[in-house]
Formats: sequence, structure tokens, C-alpha cells
Amino acid sequence: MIIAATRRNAWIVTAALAAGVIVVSLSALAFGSVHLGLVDVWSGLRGTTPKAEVAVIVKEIRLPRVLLAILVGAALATSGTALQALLRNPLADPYVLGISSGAALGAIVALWVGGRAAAASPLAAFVGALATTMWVYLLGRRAGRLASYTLVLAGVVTASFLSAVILFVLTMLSTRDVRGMAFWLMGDLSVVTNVQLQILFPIVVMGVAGLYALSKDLNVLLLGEEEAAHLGVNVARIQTAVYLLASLLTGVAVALSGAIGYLGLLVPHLARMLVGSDHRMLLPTAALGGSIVLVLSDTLARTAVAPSELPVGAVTAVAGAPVFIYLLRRTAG
Amino acid sequence: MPRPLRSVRGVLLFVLFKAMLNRMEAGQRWGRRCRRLILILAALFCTTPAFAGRIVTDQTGRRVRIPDRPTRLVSLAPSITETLFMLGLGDQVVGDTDYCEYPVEAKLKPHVGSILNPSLERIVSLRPDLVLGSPEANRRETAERLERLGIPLYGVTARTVDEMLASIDDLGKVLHREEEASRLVDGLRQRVEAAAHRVGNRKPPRVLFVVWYRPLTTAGANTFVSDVIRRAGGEPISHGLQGEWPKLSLEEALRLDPDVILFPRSESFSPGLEEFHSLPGWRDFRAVKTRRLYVVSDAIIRSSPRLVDALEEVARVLHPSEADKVGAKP
Amino acid sequence: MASPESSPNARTNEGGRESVALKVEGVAHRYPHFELHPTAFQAQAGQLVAILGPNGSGKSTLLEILSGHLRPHAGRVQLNGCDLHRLSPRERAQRVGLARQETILLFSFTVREFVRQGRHPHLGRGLFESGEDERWVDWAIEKTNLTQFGARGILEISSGEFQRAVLARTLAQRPQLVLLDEPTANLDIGYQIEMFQLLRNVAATERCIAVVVTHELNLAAEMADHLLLLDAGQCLRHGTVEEVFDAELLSRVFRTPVIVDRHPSSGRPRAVWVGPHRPSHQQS
Repeated sequence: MIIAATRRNAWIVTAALAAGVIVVSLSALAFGSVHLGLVDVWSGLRGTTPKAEVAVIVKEIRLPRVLLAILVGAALATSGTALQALLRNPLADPYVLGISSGAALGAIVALWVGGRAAAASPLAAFVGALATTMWVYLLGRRAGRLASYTLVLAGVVTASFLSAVILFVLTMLSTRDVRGMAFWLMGDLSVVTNVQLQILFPIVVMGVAGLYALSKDLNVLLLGEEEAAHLGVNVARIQTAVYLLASLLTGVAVALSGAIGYLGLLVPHLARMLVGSDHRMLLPTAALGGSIVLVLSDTLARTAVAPSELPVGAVTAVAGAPVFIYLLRRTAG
Repeated sequence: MPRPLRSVRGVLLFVLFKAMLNRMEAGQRWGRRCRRLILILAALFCTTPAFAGRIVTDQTGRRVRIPDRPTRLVSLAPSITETLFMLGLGDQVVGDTDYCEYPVEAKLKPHVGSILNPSLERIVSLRPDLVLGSPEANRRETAERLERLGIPLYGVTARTVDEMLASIDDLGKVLHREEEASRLVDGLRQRVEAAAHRVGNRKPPRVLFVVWYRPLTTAGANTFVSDVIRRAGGEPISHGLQGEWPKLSLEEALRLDPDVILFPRSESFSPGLEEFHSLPGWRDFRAVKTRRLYVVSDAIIRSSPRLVDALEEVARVLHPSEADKVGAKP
Repeated sequence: MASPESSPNARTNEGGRESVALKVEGVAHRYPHFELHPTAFQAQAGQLVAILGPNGSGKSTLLEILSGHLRPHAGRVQLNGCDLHRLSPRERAQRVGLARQETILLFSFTVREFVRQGRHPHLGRGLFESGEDERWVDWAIEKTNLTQFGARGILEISSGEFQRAVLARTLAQRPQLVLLDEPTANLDIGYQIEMFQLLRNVAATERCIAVVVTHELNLAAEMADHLLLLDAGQCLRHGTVEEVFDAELLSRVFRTPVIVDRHPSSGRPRAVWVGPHRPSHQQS
């Protein structure tokens, strides 16, 4: 059963999912290597707990993580949805255009340089993501337009090249840094500062809102570039706007949390199963759905092998693969 | 003074100090709320000798404020755990890693997770007043996060035998165990010198230390392993190689023609030494043909006091005396 | 079927003028390996125009120029007094609808959502369609007999129904000029006739102009008011079916012997193939 795309339904679904995000996030604060009850969580959040370590665990360790998961989940899912529309390809994900490789290279070069640069690796990662975005854009343009297949080719080639460079630089790093990079390459939500969250929040909101404003045009773009042009869409401009917004969301997400896979690919499909392909319903559903999925995955990553942690990208991959296979069989059958 | 209260106040005060040390984030969060609380507590508890704290420079050169008398210690590396126990601080260790196995009591302590990825929550829930870690073992991110949470982290580092001995001394000073430390260090130094003396002026055999054989990974020139080998009267053939655990091609290793090949003892090291006689490439080593392949204690990789056991073992193996020959079979 | 505000005057709200006329004035286009020579014709509101010719004769190029998306190197297209190539894409889309072989869809819409896309050029600032938009969508679906398919997935219907859905989408644009590139390509004879009848009907009731590129010579002869015959980039003849259906001309253009007789029931000219095709080495 698919929920039809009307203004009323859009509000209802968005409100329901937003409530879901809040519920899931509050519950996630109760889970971790140390067992805390919901009472502890609540008093920890409000600062009324007598046990200082509970407040520290809830507010300093878990809360930033959950907030990051909400923002990154929304960013990646929205970006994936937008790119699937832009490229008219249900297999597109936020990393198909090479952004995660660019970000990883930026971070790894910062680590290699060491010192203060190493501490600024999120910024270096973001710069790497931006540079890759520009590069692939220039490479993928054809007669002023972004032809989807040249864009994908440009992205794939760039990603392969950058991966090779990354491997090379990895051999120059000390072993300890290499191990650190491994976590980052698989997604790590544990290293975030409040300042970073304060920067991330408006960027994600802007990116998602910007793409939502384009949802009418994204719908038409799905029909084909020529068809969209014949329906009055300024295809070149819309493509550029979507590309830049999706890249911004992906870049900032990867810069702060590494390359978390499968989210940007699968959440749009799950959302489509619920609300169909109309982006006016799909984008908010995917964004909030992405938040919920990532908070759940991160909670699992923190608790499955406590006190050790799994990289959250491993959880999304392990959970994502069966979901992907299920989706494949469902559409094939 | 009740312990929980002391550590609560300690954490709050420490965080406040951090706020005043230009941690703007901390200042916004904790400064305003806690300043009042601190004043009240300070008035209530008057003189607070237990927590004035002192600023020290740790072994990595960082300046860090630690309690005067830390009583709740968390160790983030097995070598540090071993050292703490040997200094008689075993009771004060409230948490260590999953991999801390020496001594046996260390295994029974509450675990905070792996060396690379310890659980911050567990660390926080143990309410330590001092965490000890090592830049060789732990990630920079862990150090940063502990700093942000206001938990003091004392860095311990040693890359040579001498540095290890100095490190034990330093820890003893910081943790008020100078006597035990100097006893321990003296004893270890004696053993090291005895081993060197026994080796005397004999020509050092060329040694290849194999951390892992597929691909062939050895220890770099500036690592513990190389230092131990040198002290034990050997000459590590990896002296040109950069990095901690450089990879070596089999041809290059053959060209360097080591006299002796050493392996660290480890559970995952399954092939018996006999197998190397039939492995292609390996069987061409002169050392394999002359059966000079030995397994030595894995303590050789750790910068803990047990390193000296390993050193002695290596010395015995490299320069067997008549009496040792029986025990030195591969 | 009554459509909302379907009186002829209602068209002026979107058309803006009293009469709708298409004036094609000497449009030409040069490709590296092909040239469309200056072509001109006119059509009135309510008429169905057919463009005929062998493969590679420039039919699709002409259609592209008529749609406003291919700038001609010479000449212009005037729709109802407006030069099509001077309009913005959105304004053009409000006046001209193009239906042709589509890109393959990989995402599932319902048929109704698919047809609804046709309202895009008319949508206001809001994100969602207004009540009037929805009424036009319903009308377009009804006109093309797709009512029972409304809730089906666009990927699940047959190719005939899909082509009708494409037409419905184009109709939902309420264009003054409807362009169709081989709309009967995959349809059986029944659907083919139905499609042409539908086009005539729409052109008449909505007072718009339908221009169809087709290979169905005889259907065009039956249904079209005005025909163009193209060959190798030249418009060889245009006019009524009586004028264009000349046996000798058709035989030359299609390189196959043709005789022209009369359709038994309608009396309109009918082309009948009487011999084998004679391929020419000049065919591009």
C-alpha cells in the first residue's frame, strides 16, 4: 500500500516520522556499554542526576553521537534520493560520484602531514569532498548539461583513482594512524564536537530544504532529460542545483563520520515502498527514515560487542545486504 | 572524605579548570552552572589537599593536570598494566583493556574494551582519576575525547630498552612509588647488563625478526624489537627500513642473508618451524638450512618489564653457551 | 464528455488569443551529415496535420523544430502570433506538448502520477497541484480511456496503454499545439485507429492543432486535414490528401511501386503497394 502524494499526507507522514526520530533517539540514549535505565537517561539529560558519570555518559558521550546520527542519516538518505533522481538510476548512492574517496583522501593527507593538520582532518575531508565535486562536475559536463552517464563514468573513474592514491598514502602512514583510518573509512560516529554539530545542523537543514524545494522538478526529471525539458524544466540549472546540494550533504556527512555505506542507497528504496516516487513525499520520508535507521544502526554498533564497538558502516552493510537482496527479489518477482 | 563525592567534585573542578584553560566549549556548558556549585562545595569542604592537582609533563611531552594522589587508575595498554602491577599498584587499577593478560589479576579487572577502540562509557563509569595510555598503542582520537571529557590522560611511551626503564622510573615518581620503581629498574638493568656482559665481544649474528610471514613483515630500525636484538648481541638486518612494521620482500630478505630468524610466540602462529623447511623461498634461507629458527617470548613486542625476559631469551638463542645449548632447541 | 470549462472560450485563458494558428515559415536546419531544407506550411485550430516520408527524411527534425527545442538556422515557427523560439521553456511548455518514444523508466509511478506531470508547466509557486490541476488530469485520463488504469503502476501496463498515457500526459498540458512522433508505433490496428480518432476529436473539441509524424500512410489519409511529404530533407509537397497522394510521387519517394485508389467506405485516397522495394544507393 502506497500513501498517495497529497499535501495533507505529506504533513502526516512527516509528523509521524519526526515523532519516530525523537522516540528512537531518546531510547538510543539508554543503550551502550554501560547499562542505564530510562530514568537515568532523563535525569542525565536534565542534569538532575546525582551521579556525575551518568550525566557525562548521557550528555557528553551518547547525546552528541545520537545527534550526529540523526543529521548524517538525514543527509545521506536525502542525498541518495536526489542522486537517484538526477542520474535516473535506482542503484545510485551518495558515493557513486567519488565524494567519499575525495573526503577520505583529504583526511588521510591531513593525518600524514600530522600535527595541527591532523586535528583538522574533518575540514580537510570536507575540502577533499568539495574538490572532488568540482572535478567530477567539470568532467561530467557535456554541452552545458550533466548527462547522467558521463557523470557516473566521471565519478567512478575519479573514485577509483582516488582510492589508489589513498592506498598509496596509507603505506606512508604509521601503523597506528592506519588503524585509525580503517575506522574512519568504515564510518565512525564517535568523534564529534559540539562546534561541529552546530555547523552541521544548518548545513543539513539547508541542503534538505533546498532539495525539497526542487522536488517538483525532481519528479519531472525522472521522466527523462528530454521529456523534462519539453515540460518546461530548465534542465541544466536543476541538474546543477541538485548535484551541488547533494554533494554538499554528502561531503559534510562524510567529513564528520567517514563513509557509512548502504544508507544512501537503501533508505530511498524503503521510503519508496512506503510513499512512492513522488519526491514531495519521498524526500521528507527518506530524510527522517535515514535518521531513524542510522540511530538504530549506531545503537547496535555500540552494544553488539560491548565494550568494544563495531564501526557503524559495518552494521549498515551487514544489515543492508539482506535488505538489498530482498528489494531485488521483490522488484524482480 | 567519601570517594564518590571526591571524584564528583574532582571531575567538576577539573572541568572548570579546563574551561579556564581556553576550552570554550567546556566553558559554555559547565562554567556557569558549576562555578556556583564549586564555590558552595569549596566552602563546605574547606581545604582540599586531595584535589589541588599538579601540572606535570607526561612522557610524550604533553602538559597535563593530574591529581596529587591518584587512586583510581585505568590502563589502556597491556604494557602499562604490567608495569602498574609490578609497581604494586594493582589494587588501584580499576580498569584495563580486554588484552591485558599479565599478571593474571589483570584479567580479572573490569575491561574497558579493545586497545584501539575502548569504550568511553565504560571508562567514565569507572570514575577514574587518572587514565594511562600510550601513543604507540592508542588512537589519537581516544586521547582527544578523554581530554574533552575532562579525564586526565597520562601518556607513557618507550621505544628502546633504556626508555622503558626510564618510563618505569617516571611512573614511579608520578604515582608515588619511587622506591618500588627504583628497585624494579635496578633489577632489570642488572639483568640487561648481565646479558650484555655474557655476550661479550662475540660477533653479532645477523638477525631477521619476523612479525608475520605472509607477507613478510619485520620490525623497523627504531623499534623496541631492534633495540632488544642489539642489546642481546645481534644485528637486526632491518636497519635500512623505515616505519614500525615494514614489509620486506622475500628476495630482499634472502639477499640480506640473516644468520638467525626469530618469531614471536603467538597463538595465531600456526605453522610449526618444521614447515619452513618446505616452504618455497623460505627453505632457501641459510638460517633455515642451518636450523637457526627460534620462537621467542611475545614480550619482545611490548614495552613492559617482561621485555627483559625476552631479551635474555634472545641472548641465549643468539649466543648459546655450552650450558644453554640444551635449552635452546628450535 | 464535459470537461471543466470546456467551452471554446475557455481556451483563451491559457491561449490568450481568439484564434489558434500555426505558421511555419521557411524553417531549415543543418546537421553535419544532413540538412533540412526550408520548409513552410500553415494550419488552423482544430486541424490534424500529418508528416510523412521515408526514414531519414527529416520528419523528426522538423518535429523538434516545431516543438521549439531545436533552433532552426533559418525561418521561424509562429504559434498563435508567438515566435516559439523566443519563449522561455516554461512558457513554451504551456503551449506545446510533445509525445514520443520515451526514455525507459526505472522508477514506478502510478498512471495518474505520470499523467499529472503534464501539469508541471502550469503549476504555481506551491509544491502541490491545485484542484483545477487535478480536474484537468482527470479529464486527460478520461479522454484517453485510461480511467480504470489510474491507480496501476506505469511499469505494469501494456505498451499500448503506455502510449495512451504519454498522450494523456501531453493533453494534461492543455497545449495549443500537440506534436506526436509515431504515436502508433507499437499499437495493433484497433488501437491505431482509436489513437487517430482520439487526436481528431481532441483537436476539434479543444481547438488545438495536432501534428503527427507517422508511417501509417493510409491512416493519415483517412484522418488528416493537411499532409506534408518529406524526402531527403526536402518538403516535396504539402496540402490536402488529394494533392499529396499522387501515385508517381509516392512511388518515387518510397522507392516502391504504388497505386492510389479510393477507400471503399470513406472515399478518401488510399495507397496500395504493388511491387517490391527498390533500394537506392542514395539512401542516407
